[in-house]
Amino acid sequence: MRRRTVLAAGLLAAPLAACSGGDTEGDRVFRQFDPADQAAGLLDAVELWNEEHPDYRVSMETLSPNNPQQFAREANAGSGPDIAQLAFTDVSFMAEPRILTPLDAVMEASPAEGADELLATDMTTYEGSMWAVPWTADTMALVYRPDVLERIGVTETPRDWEDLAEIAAKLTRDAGGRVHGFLFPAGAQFSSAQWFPINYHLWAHGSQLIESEGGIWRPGVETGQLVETIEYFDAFFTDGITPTSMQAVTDYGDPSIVGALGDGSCGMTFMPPAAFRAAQSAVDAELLTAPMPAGLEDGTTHLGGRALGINANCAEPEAAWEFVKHLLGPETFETYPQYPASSSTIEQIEVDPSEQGFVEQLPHAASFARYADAPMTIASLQELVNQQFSAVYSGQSSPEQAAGRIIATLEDELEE
Amino acid sequence: MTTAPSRAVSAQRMRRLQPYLLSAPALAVIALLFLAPSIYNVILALQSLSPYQAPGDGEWVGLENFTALWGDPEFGRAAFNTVFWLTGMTVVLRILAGIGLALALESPVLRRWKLRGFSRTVILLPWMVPQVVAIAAWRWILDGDSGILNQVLSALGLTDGGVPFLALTSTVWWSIVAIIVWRELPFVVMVMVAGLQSIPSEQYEAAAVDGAGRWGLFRSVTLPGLRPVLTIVVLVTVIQTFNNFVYVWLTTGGGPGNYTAVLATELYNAAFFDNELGAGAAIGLVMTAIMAVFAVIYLRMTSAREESR
Amino acid sequence: MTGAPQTAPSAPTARRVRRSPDARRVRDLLFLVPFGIILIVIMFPVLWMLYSSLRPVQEISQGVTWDTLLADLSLDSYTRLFEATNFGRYLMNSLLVCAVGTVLTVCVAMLAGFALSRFSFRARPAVMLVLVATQLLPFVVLITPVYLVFAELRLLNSFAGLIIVYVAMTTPLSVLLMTGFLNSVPTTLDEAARIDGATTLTVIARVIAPLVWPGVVTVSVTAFIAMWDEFLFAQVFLTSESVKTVQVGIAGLFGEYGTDWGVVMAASVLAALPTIILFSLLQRRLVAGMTAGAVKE
Repeated sequence: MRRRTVLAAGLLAAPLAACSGGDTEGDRVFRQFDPADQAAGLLDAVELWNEEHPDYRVSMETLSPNNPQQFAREANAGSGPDIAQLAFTDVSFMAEPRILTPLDAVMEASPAEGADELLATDMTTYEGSMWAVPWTADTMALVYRPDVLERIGVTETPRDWEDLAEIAAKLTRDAGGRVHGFLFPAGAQFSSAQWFPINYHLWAHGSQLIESEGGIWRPGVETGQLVETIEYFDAFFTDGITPTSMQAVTDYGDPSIVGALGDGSCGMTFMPPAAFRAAQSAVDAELLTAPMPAGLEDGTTHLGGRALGINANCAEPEAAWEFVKHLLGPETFETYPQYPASSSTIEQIEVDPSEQGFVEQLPHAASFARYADAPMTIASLQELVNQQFSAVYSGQSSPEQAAGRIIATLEDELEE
Repeated sequence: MTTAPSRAVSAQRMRRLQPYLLSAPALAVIALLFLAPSIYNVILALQSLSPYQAPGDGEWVGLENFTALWGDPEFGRAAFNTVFWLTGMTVVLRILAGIGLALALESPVLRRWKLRGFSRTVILLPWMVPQVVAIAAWRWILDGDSGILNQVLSALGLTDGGVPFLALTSTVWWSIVAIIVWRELPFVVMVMVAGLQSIPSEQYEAAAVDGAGRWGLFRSVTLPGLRPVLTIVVLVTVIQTFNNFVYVWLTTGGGPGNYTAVLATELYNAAFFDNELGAGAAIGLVMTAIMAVFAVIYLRMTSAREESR
Repeated sequence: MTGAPQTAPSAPTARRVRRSPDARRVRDLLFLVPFGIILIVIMFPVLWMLYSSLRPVQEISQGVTWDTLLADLSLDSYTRLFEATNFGRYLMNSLLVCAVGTVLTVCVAMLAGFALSRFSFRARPAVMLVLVATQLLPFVVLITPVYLVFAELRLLNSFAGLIIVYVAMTTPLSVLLMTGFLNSVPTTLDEAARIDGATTLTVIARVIAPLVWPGVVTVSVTAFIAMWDEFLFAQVFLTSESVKTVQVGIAGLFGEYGTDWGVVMAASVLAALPTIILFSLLQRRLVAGMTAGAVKE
């Protein structure tokens, strides 16, 4: 009995002893949110910094998936990492309660390489100040199997959305339904990737979900156009080009899409760069990218990516900024497989020819700033649009009903 | 040692104090975790606060978060789905299947064939798979294009072409129910097995002497013997399922359309996509109220039955 | 209802018609075959997960054909898992937190359950209500105040903080369950022991615990799995690599740009193993406990 008590006491004491201090004591912390296997190159860049700057060592902390609210929780309590990777769309959420350090002063005192050619600064500016600096950039490109397209004599990728529908239909028809001309995740979830092509389609047709005029927000799309866009995507299902099972898929890198690319039952889909590389390495056949339909027109595709911010609680923001500058530099992108969010830095890095689609499209892509700082969050827009489109695919609403509901909800939410 | 009479008095006092002393550690640790949030929940429901702001920066908005729910047609659908499908359907199926499997596990046949340990471990397996992963695995199994279930069904000639279970309104709820029952059944089975084992064997012997058949034994001994545990299990599974958002969130996210939306997913949407923690807290309070009414009625009914016993 | 409970009478067998062993075997099969099918259905998704962790990534969501069933299977996903993460460390962290937490929860629940089951004191209904009410809080919205409390107590990034939260989190359900189990045990035995002059703690440890041993095992397994599966608190409390738990580790495998599902499946298989082993061990104890209890009677 006594021995057991001792054992129990020992078990209790062990964790208590382990709680004093973490392994990062004394170091500044840089937090990033990609899975560790995707951040190995970034770790190299951080280690390179540490070799050169023994007086300001930084330890990289991985907290994935992206959890901006955790950063906010910590920063509001007076702690948190010194430097944080932030999704573009999260920067203004952090700027509003002032939990980031404004960067205007340090950026002026010690400009970063390529800082005058940064992309998407509209996403990191809030009330006239820079709260984070754009770091990496991405967009969605068309991903396709050249051999599958060639089989039906298609040598050029679709130029516009109507073209895409035609080629996709032909791919499916000529293969007797064995090939899905175009696969896209069409789940109802807020995170469903159909959000991107839906917006691209609207933008290419001169509309956008919401727009602001002198600070007044209102729906930026007519019912007629919205119905057309809904019908456009619904037709992929009603015409049998895209299988119904895609309505339960949310992720562009979903194994069912990658698998279909692998066995040749998918002709075309779309992905961001990192997902494309993962698909490439998983699939034996050749995969190529091209700009999305109408993707070479300005502002018809989105420019996404991540920024770097400095915590408002950071003790030495100037020193932290030097580290940020290091991560912004071309050296980092030699080991870190991302596109830099600076048009001059992007020219200095080597890109695999298969990624041509991204490189061509990126200069024309525009950030989601057109929806930012509205009374309705981008996440709420995503949720609304994906859900209503999904309701049409699954036969619960007609395109007119869904379009009507989207616009009514937008009007309602924007009124506040 | 004290003298006899004072010892009797203090023993009596000790006896009165004892339940409180025994419950004290549990109550203390519960207070540490639950006290602050439960008070804060009420405050938050009356405020407008984004998840990015400090908790003290909320703006008082009165009952706005509640009145917004009133006119929301989605709220009605979500409430129905939560009560009927998510909670009602899965709890009933789990309890019935749970008792059945527990009885099967205690059957002498399994003992004769030395299969008890193995069977028990197999039945508990789903519980040991992390929820997130169980759901991912099920989504592939249910995939309409190349999922293994569709392969099996069409090999057996039961279906013609793949059924996208999670994309059709006719199959989506049954699929979610199947996943929940599969993953959460082991808890019920395990508790029921323990309940069966706690029934003293003399009770069976006595009833058998009275000439009770198998069904009679079940009704007069097994079921009453299980009742104390069953009461708790029903209560706990109802409450936990009612509040659960993981299953719906990760299998369909409320889709197709908003066909499978439940209260917990509405709460999550409000708090983290609309950035209105207050609205989320208000939905949480409504959910709490519904469950509190249920719990009070339920506990009163079951304790009335216990007393009448 | 198939099969009578195992505790069914052994004495009145004389009443039963004696059957030949063969007839009994056939009758057994009538029970075993449907039961076996149910087991296969239950087991299938788990086996599928194990199988998925061995398949090449691009095939993971696909069905199978007979000729490719066993082709290309490898441990690649496991290798990648250990290359990319400190998964062994996460496992050890989880084991420590959950083991200590479970022991504490069971002790706390035993005491409170005994009070609720054996005493009718004035605050009893209130205590029951508190226990039930705790299950109703939407923590996902309310995590910030918990975070602030534990930050104030300097319990972030520590096992101690997480253990306290886990004990608190599992205690209500454990107490309720324990009360249920204790209610089904007749009071005669502990009253007899008490008349013999044993203190309450002795009665609980020596008389009650062995009697409700199946209940104790159930409560421990339930609490252990709840802790093992817990993600929300772990993710908010633990940001430092050295203290992360298995669930935080698994969540960390999901990326915005892509997820290596082979690695996720491998991680899940490894994450399920400790619970399976624990349960098999406890199960042996369970049977031993039963007989010990029976002998005492």
